[in-house]
Amino acid sequence: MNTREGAAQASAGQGGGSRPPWRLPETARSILVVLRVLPEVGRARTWTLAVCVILAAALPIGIAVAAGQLIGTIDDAVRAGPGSAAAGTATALLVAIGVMVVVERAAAPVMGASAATLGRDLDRYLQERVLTAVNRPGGIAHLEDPAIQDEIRIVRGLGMSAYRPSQTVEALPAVLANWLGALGSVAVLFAFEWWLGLLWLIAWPLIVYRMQRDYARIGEEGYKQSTELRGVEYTRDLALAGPAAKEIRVWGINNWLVDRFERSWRRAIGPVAAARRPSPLAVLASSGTILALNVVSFSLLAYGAIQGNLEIGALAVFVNALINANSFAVGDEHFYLSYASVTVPKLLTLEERLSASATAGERAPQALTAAVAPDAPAKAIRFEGVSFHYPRSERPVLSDFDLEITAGRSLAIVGENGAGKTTLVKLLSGLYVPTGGRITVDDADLATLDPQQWRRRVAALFQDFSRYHLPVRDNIGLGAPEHAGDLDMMRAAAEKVGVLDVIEALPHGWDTVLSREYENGVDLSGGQWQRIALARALFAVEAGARVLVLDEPTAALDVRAEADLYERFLDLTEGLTTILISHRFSTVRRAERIIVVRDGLVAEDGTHEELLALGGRYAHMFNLQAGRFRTDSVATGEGGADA
Amino acid sequence: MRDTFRAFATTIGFGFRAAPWHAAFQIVTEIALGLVGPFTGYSIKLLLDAAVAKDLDLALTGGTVLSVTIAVLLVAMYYNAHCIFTVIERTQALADRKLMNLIGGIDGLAHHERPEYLDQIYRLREERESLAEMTNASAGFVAAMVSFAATSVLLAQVHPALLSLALVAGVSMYISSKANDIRVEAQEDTSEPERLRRHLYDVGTTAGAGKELRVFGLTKEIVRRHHTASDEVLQTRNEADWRAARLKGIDALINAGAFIGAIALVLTLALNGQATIGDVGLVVQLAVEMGMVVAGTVGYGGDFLWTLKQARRFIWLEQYAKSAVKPTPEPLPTPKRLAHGIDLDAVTFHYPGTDRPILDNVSAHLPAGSVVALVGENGAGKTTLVKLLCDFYQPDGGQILVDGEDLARVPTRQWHQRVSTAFQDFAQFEFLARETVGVASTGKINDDDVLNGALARADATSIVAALPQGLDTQLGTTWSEGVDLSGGQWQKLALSRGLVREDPLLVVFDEPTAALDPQTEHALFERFAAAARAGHEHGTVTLLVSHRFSTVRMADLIIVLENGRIREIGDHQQLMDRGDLYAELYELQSRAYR
Repeated sequence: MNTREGAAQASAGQGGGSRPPWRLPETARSILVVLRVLPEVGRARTWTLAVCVILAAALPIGIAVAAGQLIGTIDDAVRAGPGSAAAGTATALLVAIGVMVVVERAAAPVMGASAATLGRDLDRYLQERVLTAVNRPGGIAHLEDPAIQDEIRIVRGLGMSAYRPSQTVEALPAVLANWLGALGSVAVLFAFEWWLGLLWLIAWPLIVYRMQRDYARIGEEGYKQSTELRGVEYTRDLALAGPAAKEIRVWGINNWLVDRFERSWRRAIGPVAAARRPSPLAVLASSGTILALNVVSFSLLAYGAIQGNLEIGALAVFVNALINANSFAVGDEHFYLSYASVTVPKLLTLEERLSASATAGERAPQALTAAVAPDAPAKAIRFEGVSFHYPRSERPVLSDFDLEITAGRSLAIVGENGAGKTTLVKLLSGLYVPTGGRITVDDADLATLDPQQWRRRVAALFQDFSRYHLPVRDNIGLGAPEHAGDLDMMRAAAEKVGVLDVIEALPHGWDTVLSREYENGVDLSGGQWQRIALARALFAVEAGARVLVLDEPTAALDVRAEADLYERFLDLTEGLTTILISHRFSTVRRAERIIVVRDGLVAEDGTHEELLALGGRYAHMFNLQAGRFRTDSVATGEGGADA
Repeated sequence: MRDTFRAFATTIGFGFRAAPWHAAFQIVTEIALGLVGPFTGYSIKLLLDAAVAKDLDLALTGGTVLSVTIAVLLVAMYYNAHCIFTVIERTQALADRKLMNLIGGIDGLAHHERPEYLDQIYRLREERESLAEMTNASAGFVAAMVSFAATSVLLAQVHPALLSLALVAGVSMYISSKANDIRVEAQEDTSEPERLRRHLYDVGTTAGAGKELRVFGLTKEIVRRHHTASDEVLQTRNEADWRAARLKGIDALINAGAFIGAIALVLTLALNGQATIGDVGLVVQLAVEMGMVVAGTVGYGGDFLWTLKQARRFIWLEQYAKSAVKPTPEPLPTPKRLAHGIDLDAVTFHYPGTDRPILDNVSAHLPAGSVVALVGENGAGKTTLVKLLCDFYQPDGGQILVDGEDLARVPTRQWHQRVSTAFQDFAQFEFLARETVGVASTGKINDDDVLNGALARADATSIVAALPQGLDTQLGTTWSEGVDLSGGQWQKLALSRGLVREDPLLVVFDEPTAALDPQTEHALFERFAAAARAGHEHGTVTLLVSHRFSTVRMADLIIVLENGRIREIGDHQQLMDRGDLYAELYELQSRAYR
């Protein structure tokens, strides 16, 4: 009844479903899957565990039988006196019991440690299977799929109701030893009355089977509530974690969040408790059966010993066996066993499922790929009639979009929020595939190119760049992991974006971990983080990327840092195919070519000067901004009044 | 000691408050289950002795009582398992709510930002599951103790020397608790690498981070690093398991020795006619039982101590939450409207434990009904000043005066009701769109007019109009039917949130337009100015933190911070005329537009 490792939750509905009676019950199949995986996780320990289970099942029976026989010899030994043959038998039995007890007791810690370590390793094994599986596809659409996120959460290792698969492994030896031991004891009863043994042999497995089937059904239904439970966790973590803390306080919504938590928790958990409540009929039927069987067995044994010819030793053996036959127990280990194992087969097939059917918006993984030329893009990247809408959404972001991006030049994309600028970048990086049309690199369809090779040519700074809880060294080095040891190259990248002095002033320099969640870790300001991320992208360029994508690279920078950056812009992008998305004209105007995207089309196209001369959208937007700076150099008296 | 008891009482109280009947039933059934072992042993003795004495009635009675006990046990086990899970899941939810109320309910931010508190908060979050374990651990421990006592009594009745079995059990418990310590220590020692492992798992499995992983070709690297991080965790914890097992192995041998000794003793007694055959059966059964008692005591005892550790952290949190409340013995109400404005009077603020001031003697008058801009380079102290004005922290020196009254005397929550904010690091509430905006005034979540008004003011009407179910659309793609928004769209919704409240005294815009396009910013800016003018009726002070001088220049008052001090203060023209830092930065930025 030890539930240290996990909180209990699941959910159910009445939808257990009826399956053909000849199929293996769900639990049995899940457990078999776990058993098949275990040797992969740790072969030696799996065998150790198996041996321990057998010992843990067999030895108590052996001890019970030997102890019974020992009891049987007492009378004779008393009569024959010390030194007699009977006394010798008694001593021999005592030694045998001693040996068995020593082995049994010594095996227990080995079994415990094998199970605990194997379980822990199984969790990691599954975590890695999931990680590998979700990282195989080149796109990211599957990571936005609620169903996939539900599976990801199961092995994350810190969740509401996380039934960790390790709990299966921890429960398994105890339960198996229990079952085997009980079956063995039943076998001993055959020696007393075969039909009694047979009755026991039928009754217990039936009861256990029914029970496990119910548990598995609850586990299965609980699994279906994963999304709801993820929502419960999401609400809870808003209140417990830092990012929303300021707004939660200003808006005073903590109580509102608590209510929301409570409501969604009830929704998720309500049906579970109902389904888990034991059915009185099943409880009565099983305990009634066991009661009847026990009364019959004990009475027969009593009659046999007192009015029949059952010897006292045999009586002791059979009574012990009978007690053991009852140890099929319904403890919570059984619950964990069924419950935690339900998810394992699903997790193991995740990779298969992900590669069998590409999630909408991703390229099929089995598509043939061609090598990317070492100098690509040498001529141009072209969007040819590209259409796109996000999976599970009907709204088109791009339709029939054409654009030629000349290699080795810089291009700035300007447009309103939601105009699809970031989407263009995601398509270009192969994170999504167009739903219509195609993108070509030097006339080769991007869809046919080796995605990994292509991405090595691309470096990007996304708006929502990652903040790795790793040393600065790695936060920059991960731009090109194969060159991660090259400190000079990292210094060069950091220097270019003016963050080198920040890094060198950190308490542990390049080895400072950038997160306060770790001892001696520090957190950086928004502007500093953005420059670290930019340095990461430039490090990738140093390592050979030829396409540089910058999505709002200066949003968090202060005036000096921004000015510094746009002054270096030409220098930074020299010879690269640069795609810049920005609302800041100071940077945009440095690009060799600027396009204005509007309603999914290229509305204007030219250099800064050309677009200003055109007097269109760009000129309007630029003048709007510039006008607000210009007024003061002309009319000193006008001050704060706005144009 | 008192704290320990309080920690225990609090957490066991969770169980009884969350599920009183289930918790009571669990404890009662478990104690009863603890007695089954000794009882079984005694029944065996009766049966064997009756058989020797040829007393059929006694034998049948013994057998029947045992049968009934087993059947009752079976029934109890069914419901006991149900209760265990019910208690744990309900207690978990209750403990989570308590944590939310405490962590989310503290008015200040220090516990989210200062390293000395952060570690406690992280551990509370990570080990929150164990807060729900107290009932289970206590029930198991008590049951094991009851079983221990009953077993000892029965043993003593056969022969007092058999009590040495109980003594050995004591030694076992000691050794096993040492073994448990080894495991706990390993668990604590690896909490940082485990934190990192989890971070890497999250990085490897979320779409946002997934973009970078793919572009930089890091997908394999992240799997590799996850492997390395978990190696550290696994090696330490597994190794501790084996070390603990070795210790338990020694204990097992001592135990087995005691077991054999006990049987040898009772056997000798029987051979000398000092014990019955039934006694032998009894002792065998009890010796087996004693092994299980030890396992139970140690297992549940370990859980108990582990939970207690977490419970003490919870008590710390409770005390911290109490101490973090700004004391307002004579609370002042917030004024209905601002007549004069907000004054900073020699405001000073330090990082705790250092002499370095982040704000040093800052004094300024923010007039009612004005737009005030706060300018300065990164690290100048702007963010801190905003946090003080929002009453997330209180100044170490000086005062913030609201219409002449010290803000220190206004309860924080009351002040928060009259503040509106839009931060650059806004929260992305993945709720229904109406909730995402409406949380700014939870009573108005279902008031479409209010929400649409706020959306219009933030120029976000078109965003919501394009959503499949309008205001009732779920935001965030990882939810069923959830919709994705761009960074700029999220920011506009955050801005809408900042414009829901109609009567704030202070509105803070802390770089709320960084991800927005210029004409949106321009349009918004004009609306802010209009809103500020409209705010005259409440005397609202609008505080704008921005790096965009085109926006800053329109403010009625501009405060330029440098190294925690006010370098300059005045309107745009005055500052330009001074030709100091403001003029320099302005010049730097405007150059881009020439």
